[in-house]
Formats: sequence, structure tokens, C-alpha cells
Amino acid sequence: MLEVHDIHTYYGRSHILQGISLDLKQGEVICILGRNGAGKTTTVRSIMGYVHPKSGVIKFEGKDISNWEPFEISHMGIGYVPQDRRIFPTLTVKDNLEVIEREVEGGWTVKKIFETFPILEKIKSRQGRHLSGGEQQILAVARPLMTNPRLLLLDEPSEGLAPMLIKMIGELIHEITKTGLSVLMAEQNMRFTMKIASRGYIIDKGRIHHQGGMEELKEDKEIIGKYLAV
Amino acid sequence: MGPYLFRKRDALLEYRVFVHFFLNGLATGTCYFLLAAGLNLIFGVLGIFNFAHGAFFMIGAYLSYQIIFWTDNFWLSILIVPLAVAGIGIIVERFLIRHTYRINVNFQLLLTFGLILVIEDLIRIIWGVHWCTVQEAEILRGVLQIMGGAYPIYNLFYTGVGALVFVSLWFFLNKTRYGKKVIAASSDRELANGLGINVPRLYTSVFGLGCALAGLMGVFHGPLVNINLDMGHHYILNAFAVVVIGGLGSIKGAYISALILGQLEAYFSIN
Repeated sequence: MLEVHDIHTYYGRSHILQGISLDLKQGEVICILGRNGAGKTTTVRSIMGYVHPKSGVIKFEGKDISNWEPFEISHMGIGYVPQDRRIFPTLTVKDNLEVIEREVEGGWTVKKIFETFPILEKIKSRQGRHLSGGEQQILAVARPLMTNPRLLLLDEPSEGLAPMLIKMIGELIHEITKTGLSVLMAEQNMRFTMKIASRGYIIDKGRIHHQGGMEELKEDKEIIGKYLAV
Repeated sequence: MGPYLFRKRDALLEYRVFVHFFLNGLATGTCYFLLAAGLNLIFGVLGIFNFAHGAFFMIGAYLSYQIIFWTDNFWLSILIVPLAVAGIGIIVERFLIRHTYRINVNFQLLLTFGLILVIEDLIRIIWGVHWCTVQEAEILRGVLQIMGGAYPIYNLFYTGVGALVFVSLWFFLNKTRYGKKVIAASSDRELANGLGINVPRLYTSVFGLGCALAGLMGVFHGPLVNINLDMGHHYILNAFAVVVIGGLGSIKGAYISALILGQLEAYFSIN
């Protein structure tokens, strides 16, 4: 479904991604693990079209999206949950959802979102800037579902959250994947991804160093020590 | 106006003067608001330093003069001019201003200032340097007796137009899906883009709407003044002030501060 071939991405003259390749099949839930500055966010942003790789190819469902604009990629069927949550501050929770809505037969609607995430219904008239961190994260995860994507990109969904909230977000994401949605998650927290992802890539200094099933990665203490902040 | 000693038989006269001043203040306030309304969208919401907004207003005034000259129909110019000015604005945004978003804002200032010069010269070439005058529709001419004094009907109509524009814009921005998309894109342009909102096209259409409002003001303001090449300059700084005082992006704030400024000018201005 998603193929990333050997992409090199630069911010100005800084060579951030030095040949990243990964792939994801339909229905899979995979993660990119690495510490701060490893290149996780840049990888996600490259896929989403915020920054275009200087070389290499990104393909989604067979189409080359390497140089597309983010809104075009969103229309293709990829949903984006950014780092730092980023809720539209002056819009209410309900508006935050409605503003993105793209109707699909039998797909996500505001009503369905409220059923799956009852907390959001309770705060539906509250302005984005008055939400707590946990509420914002739930909204940030729920919001791109309104475009009825086939692939969801999450950038560090557990960052900055209290442990109990992290657990809840993990469960929510797991719930969503049951609908057949494919997920690619960039994360620092390996334990968080254990329950949700089936496969992972270890990234460090802009390169993929290891990949494998979550079980085998978990057992490899050496990799964990070397590439992931403990 | 120095201190007054009110005497009984002059009392009614003084009240009438105050009422007329108040009405003038409303009209002046409406004048500030009309230009600020479009600028509020372009500068307050989108963050574009459009100095040429006054020039678009001027285009609207001259175009309305031309249409009335040809057809003698005030209402027709209300219909056509905003669309025409919006069209010009859309072209300008799409091909010129769009390139300045990702670079230093000074380029936007320079570009829009250059636009003023170009627009003024084009107007000068087409219509010449002499003042043009325009008359409002027949039905709006004449006066109304307010408290025993004659007051121009058109001033009241003008104030009404301002109120209508305010209510429509407020509703449009806060209650429609499109308006909420505009708010979303202005508060976080990058995120809106990634969630599927076609931000470039949104910016173009909002810019067009702002220019349409400037053109609309050109139509309604024409009968009140002599249409001349200085029109844009005269009001643009006040418009920026109103947008800032009222709060960038707040249409309610712009209307209130415009009305207050209008009242201040009616009572305390020395010209």
C-alpha cells in the first residue's frame, strides 16, 4: 500500500534522511522507532508532502506521491495526526471535526466519532484551546478519521502524556485499527507500540538500522540500548 | 465646540444637532468599517499586508462611475462592481501575492505598494485626472426630517448597508462551513493543509472576497465624495488601524471600533 524507496530529505542543506526505505501492506500496523532527532518526524512529514525528498520515491497505492501537496495526499486517503497535537484553537471540538469532513458511504461521521470516543461528545462545544492535553490528543487522533482515510500517520502520539492517558490512547488506536485501517506510527516509546504494531523499523541518524516483528525487536536488548532512549 | 449655556428655547435645537452629529458619526463609522471589513479578511485573517486594499476600493469607485455613466443604473453597479474587483483581486493573488507567502513579509509590503502605483496610473490613463461624480439611485436621494432638521436619506442608507455587511460577514465567518475552514487555515495553515483543506485555493477566494468588499465600498461611497485618485490613500491607514484596534480577524471588533472612531470624528474633529 505504501512504499518508500531510498528517500533522501534535506532541510536546507542538512541531509536529514539518508536513504530511508520502508513498506506497509494494507491492514498492517507498523511503527518507526527512534530517539529524538533520529528522523522519525521528517520521515512522516516526507510521506505527508510537507517536505519533498530530493531523491527517492514515495508511492501510495501505486501512485507516486513524492512531490504532491499535503492536501492532495490527504485527498488520496492518508490521514495525519501531527506531533504536538495542534488543535484549531478557536474552533469547538465539533467544528474541529466538521471542518475536515469528507463524506463517504458508511464511513466516519461526527456521530460515529462521538460513539467511538464518548469523551469528545461531552466536550463537543468547548473551544480547542480550552482542552486538556489528553482531550487534545484524543481529538487529534479522531480528527483525520473524518476524511475517511485508508492509512493513518501518527507522529509521536504518546509524547507529553501522563501514563494513564498513554494507555488510553493506545487502546483507542488499537480500536480504530480493528476497522481495517492501516497505521504508520513514529514513536520513541517502544512499550507503547508493542500492543498495537506488528512490525517496526529502528531509525537512527536518518537511516534505518533494523527492522522486524515487534516480538523479536523487543527481545533484542542491544538494539534497544543502542538506538532507543531508555 | 466650547461649553454651552443651554437656554430653554434653544434646547431642542441643541438636541437635534447632537442627533445629527450622532447620525453622521454612524455614517463615518460605516465608512471606516466597509474598508476595514475586507482588510480584516485579508490582513486580519490571512495575514497579508495588502497596502493596495485602498486602491481596490478606488477601482470599485471608478468602475461604478463608468457603469452608471453608461447605464444610469446604480443598482446594476452594486451587482457588477464587487464581482469585477473580486476577479481582479483573484488574479493579483494567484499570480503575484501568492509568491510572497513563504518569504520575508517586506516583499509583500513592497509588492502591494507597487500595486498601488500601477493601479493609480492605470486609472489615470483610463479616466484622467479630473474628479468624477456619481449620483445615487433616485429613490435614495433627498432628505428626511429628523427632529425638525433635514437629514440626507442616503447617509441612513449607507449606515444600513454597513450594518448589513457586518451581520452577513459575521454569520459567514462563524456559522458556515467555509467560514470555519477559513478560521482553521488562518490559525494553523500547515495543519489545515495536511487535513485536506485546499489552503492555496482558500487563500485566493478569501482574498477575492476581501477585494469584493473593497469594490462594494467603492460603489456605495461614490455618491458621498468626489471620486478622485487620492481616495485610496485617504482611508487605508484608518482601515488598518480599525482592523488592529478591533483585533485581527475579529469582525465584531472591527465594526465596534469603526463606529467608535466614527463617533469621535463626528464630535471632536476640527476639520
